[in-house]
Amino acid sequence: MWRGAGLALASLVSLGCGAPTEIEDVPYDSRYGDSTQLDLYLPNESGPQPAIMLIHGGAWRFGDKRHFDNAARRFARSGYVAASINYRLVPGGEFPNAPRDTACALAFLQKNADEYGIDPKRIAVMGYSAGGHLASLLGVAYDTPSLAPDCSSGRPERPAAVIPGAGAHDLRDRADARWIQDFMGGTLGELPDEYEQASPIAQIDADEPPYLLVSGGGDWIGATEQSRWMRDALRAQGNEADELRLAGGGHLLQPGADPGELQIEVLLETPEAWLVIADFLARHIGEP
Amino acid sequence: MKGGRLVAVLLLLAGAAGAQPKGKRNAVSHKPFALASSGVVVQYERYLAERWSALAGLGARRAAREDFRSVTLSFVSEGRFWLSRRDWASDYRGMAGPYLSVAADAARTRVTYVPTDRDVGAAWRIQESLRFGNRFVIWNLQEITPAASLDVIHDIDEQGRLAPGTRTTLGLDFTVGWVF
Repeated sequence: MWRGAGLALASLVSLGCGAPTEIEDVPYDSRYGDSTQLDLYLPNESGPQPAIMLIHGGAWRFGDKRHFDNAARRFARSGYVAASINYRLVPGGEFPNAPRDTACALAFLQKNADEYGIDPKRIAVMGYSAGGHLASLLGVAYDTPSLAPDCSSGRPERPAAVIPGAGAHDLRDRADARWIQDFMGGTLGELPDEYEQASPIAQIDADEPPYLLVSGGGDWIGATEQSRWMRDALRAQGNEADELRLAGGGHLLQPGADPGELQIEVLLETPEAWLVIADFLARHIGEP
Repeated sequence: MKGGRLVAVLLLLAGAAGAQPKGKRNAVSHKPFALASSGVVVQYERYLAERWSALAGLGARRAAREDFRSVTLSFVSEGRFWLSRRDWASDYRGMAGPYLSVAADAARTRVTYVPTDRDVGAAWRIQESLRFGNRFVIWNLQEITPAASLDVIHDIDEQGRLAPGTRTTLGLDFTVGWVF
């Protein structure tokens, strides 16, 4: 433990070294302006590096790619290429537009991998809340014809790993929620096929990428139980899937270093989640 | 302008009480929020002098579920400056009423992957906070202290798989305890 404390202190002293190169507002689909841009965080290491595509939350209606800038900088300082994306929001981002944008962004990164020093076979997708849903859907439906993007980058290849945080995986189960109806553009009764297409749990086949699902036991916005359903459904088809559930973890309030304090942050930035994510990435897209 | 008003209010509060504390000099408390993450925090506070008190405590939580287990051990510390030394609601005098403080916490978390009992790794979180709170004392014994803070967080992976990360956020704190 004390050796660890020494390492921690040394790491803290070195904080700020190796600042990544940041390229803002890169258009991955020039047709929709700011809505389809991404920010790139490039590590100092040269050569093809594993990458992480980050998808922000906000009930498909709010939010911005800058929500993930702290995480993206940390990934980039660690040697990963990080790309935090915008996507079309409601109104305008109704299903299937937002999922098509995320597929287009992934295809853009794969197609331009050489330019940004990315290994195109080692790109993980991570999202939170609505972004968790979009990441989960991209993982299982990247090759679904109805969700194929019509942007110039074409269709994406399979992502190497998927990390959905606090996301919904079966929209049919939460179909009474207004924000889901707004995203879907109608009710479950009106659009049963679309609800099924938008539900990652209904799209699972064998040979899906490995999943790490992160959920909060006290998350009254996110669909906590759905993470377990998704994990079990993936495993039932022979896929690799694990779930980290954090007792006391809310949607935007988490216990801090002082377990009695609640802090405004997302589940993915708790110490438990950082540890599990670091391990998951190292095993599935490799350490930089 | 707003900053000037705030300083004026704080100075007025600070000048509203006498120089010597009339209340009790010790407090022991716990943090109910910790229970939600299967945790506990117990802390002791001692009045020092001239409006200052010092607090130290230990905490633990076992928050990870499903395919993972975790153990977090924490050390919390805080130095408080009591602005009025008076709970206006109960008229209790001593370590009560509004305060400003600086806090420093350190926590180490270790995670295990349950299906294979594999060690996932360990990480440190170090945190500094500026806090504003208010202690209510009832029955001359029970204290209830809500607080809000601006936190600077440092996350450090012991294995070095991820570079250290630093960010700021807001925190909410709440203690329940006893003064004696």
